Amino acid sequence: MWDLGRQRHCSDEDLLAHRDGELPRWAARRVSRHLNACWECRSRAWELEQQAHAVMRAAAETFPGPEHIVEAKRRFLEWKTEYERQGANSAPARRRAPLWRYAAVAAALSFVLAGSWLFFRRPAPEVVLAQAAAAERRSTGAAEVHQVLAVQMIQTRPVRRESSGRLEVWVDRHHARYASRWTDRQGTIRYANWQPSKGRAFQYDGGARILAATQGHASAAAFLDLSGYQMEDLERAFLDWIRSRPWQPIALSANFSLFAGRGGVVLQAERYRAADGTAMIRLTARRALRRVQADFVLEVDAASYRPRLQLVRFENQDRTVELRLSIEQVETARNSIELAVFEPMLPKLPAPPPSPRERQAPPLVTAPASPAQASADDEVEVLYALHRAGACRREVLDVGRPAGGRIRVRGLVADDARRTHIVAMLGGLKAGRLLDIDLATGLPPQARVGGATGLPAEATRAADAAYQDALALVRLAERFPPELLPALGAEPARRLQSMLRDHAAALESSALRTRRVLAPLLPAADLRQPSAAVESVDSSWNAACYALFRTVDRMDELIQDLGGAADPARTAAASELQIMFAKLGGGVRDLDGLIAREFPSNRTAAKR
Amino acid sequence: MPAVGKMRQNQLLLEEIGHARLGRRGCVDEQVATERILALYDSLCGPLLRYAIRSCGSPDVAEDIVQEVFMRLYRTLREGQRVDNPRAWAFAVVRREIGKWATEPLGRAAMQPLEILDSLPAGNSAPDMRAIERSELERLFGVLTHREEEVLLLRLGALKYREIADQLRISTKSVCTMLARALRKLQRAANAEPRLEEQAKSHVGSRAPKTLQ
Repeated sequence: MWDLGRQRHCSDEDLLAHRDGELPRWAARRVSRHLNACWECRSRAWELEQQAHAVMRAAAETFPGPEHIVEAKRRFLEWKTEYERQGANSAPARRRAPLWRYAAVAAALSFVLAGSWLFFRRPAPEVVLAQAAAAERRSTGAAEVHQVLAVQMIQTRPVRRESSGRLEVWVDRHHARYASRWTDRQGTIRYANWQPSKGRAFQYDGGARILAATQGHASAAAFLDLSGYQMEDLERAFLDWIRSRPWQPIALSANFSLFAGRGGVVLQAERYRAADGTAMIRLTARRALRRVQADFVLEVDAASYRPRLQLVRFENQDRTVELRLSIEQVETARNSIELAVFEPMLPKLPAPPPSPRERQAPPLVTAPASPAQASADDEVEVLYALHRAGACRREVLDVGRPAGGRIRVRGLVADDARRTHIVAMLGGLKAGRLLDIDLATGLPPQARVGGATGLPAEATRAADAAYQDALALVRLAERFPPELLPALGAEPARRLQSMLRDHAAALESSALRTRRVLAPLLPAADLRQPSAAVESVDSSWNAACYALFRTVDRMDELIQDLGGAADPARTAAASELQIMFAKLGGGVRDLDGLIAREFPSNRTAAKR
Repeated sequence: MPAVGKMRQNQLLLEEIGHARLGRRGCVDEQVATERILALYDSLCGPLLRYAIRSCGSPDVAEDIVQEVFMRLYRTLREGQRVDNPRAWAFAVVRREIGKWATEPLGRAAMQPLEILDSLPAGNSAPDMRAIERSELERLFGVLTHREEEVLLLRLGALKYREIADQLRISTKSVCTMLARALRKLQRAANAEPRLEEQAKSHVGSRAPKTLQ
């Protein structure tokens, strides 16, 4: 349309579309109204109409004529007769779907049915368990394994309580190394054990000291039978399990097998889909006792059969507690484990924020001023300083010379004041510039966790002190093997000798004090009579230190038995304890003699 | 059947054929299908043939193609398939068949302007058809472009604008514009011819004697 002054005429397109009935209703009404009023547009519409008539007339007049259509119809009827004759003999008139469509539908149906059957069928528990064990063996069968597990202990009834933590296990099968560590949510170590080499094993159970340990051979039974159903019972059972389990990677399927193999256990397996969409299989072993129901659940990845979660739940009338162990990480790459994790020392704990006083103190880590290498003499100097400060007994400190030639002092002290004191003291040494000091605070104030029950506290304290000194002797013996001794200077050798004598004397004194306190429980013996050396130690002062430690360790166990065991066992423990005291006295004298004989300064003096 | 116009009858018939399925399982009965195809011949054969001849240039080929369209429609109905709009369906099949034929070597050779038909030897079929192409339509459509001619032929086949647009893959607006332009061109051509004849007559009347002299 276009405007002609105040009047809007229709275009040819509009007029034609209007005549053909192709305009929308609103446009058709507008064109009709306009045509009623406008003669010009009406005449143009008429012209178009006339032209269309002319074209139509020309087309109709020309082709095809009626005879042609009749001929075409005849040809069609002939063809149709032939078509129907062929079609009636060959196939029904109904159109068939192509064969491939039937095949596709059948394939899709069978696929869906097979998928449903695979997903919904109940897997056989024994088969799944065997697969899970095999998958776990494959995943943890490497020479070096590092496992990280999340530990959760939850009480759901009557009041919800929850504690979480982390359990890490390192295994180096080639070198018979092992370490494990259980830390709580705050990062505090609840239990740790180390085996830096075959035959040397240590453990730390949250107390003040690192103890000698023996590899456990017990199974997972520890936390399958709870004595009570409190959270504390669960934690204690879990600790017992970690302590007693073999020093191998953790195998959740093995724990499950142990529980499932008991009498009265009902096994069941079901498929389900995890929150992240992974297809899973849940194995449940249920054992219903008179007052409590125990459920052991193992959740396994349906594709790889690798266990992901182990859950132990105890439920009685009043309470429900459960322990969850879920595998977070399994690393099996070669040479991925730092050797430091196998060393019997506490790792760095999260340090508290520095106090204003500490900010003014000298830096804890002294930067190396020169690339000088620390020698064994420097190490002795550091150890001697720590010895003078009493840090070799109470605190758990580790002094070593890792690669790089510097001396590293790491460990755990009681508080910031103690740390500042030790740092300041070490900073004043001649070897102070070669030191890397990394001390964390948070050492518990109590001397020992779980002392012997039913015995005087004095006896326990004295036994602890003896143990500390014996351990200090062993650590010195380890650090300075006989071949290293000639390399020491006169003064360091003298200092080392002094440390050894101090510890030996303290050990003897503590042992005597223990013996005196426990005298009423021991068989009659003359305390004034000097003890005889039962174990012959004549090789070296290092061997004497180890022998002393073994004696003190055994003595410690006997004292525990004396406090808690039944009467016959107590009598036997008392008799053996008496022997151990005698052996200890002899061992200290032997050590004294060996020190005097073997140390270079003494040898030089003897020659003179 | 009530008294309705012929166009309306055809429309009803077309609609009936388009939905002529025996439910979802069966096909159209042979007799019904035959009757309806024969009825379609009356309304569709002319437009289809005109369109086919103008598109391919060969009356014989056009005739075969149109015959093939009706046979295919019959087969389709007998097989129970649905044809919602037989008119548009038939034109679409003709266009497709002509497209296929044009790609063949024989087809390309035959795609010649209609003027050369006179020089070809007369076949034994349809002597009247040769007169057709030379006659009225040829004279009328000479002034149109190919596209305008195609749109006009489809409209002569009673296709709606939307159906034409779908076949040619253009917009409805373009269809409308081309139709209006084609009619105007034809009108101008028709108006010009009488004037030329008059001029020629006057020219002959005034000059011829002189020339002859």
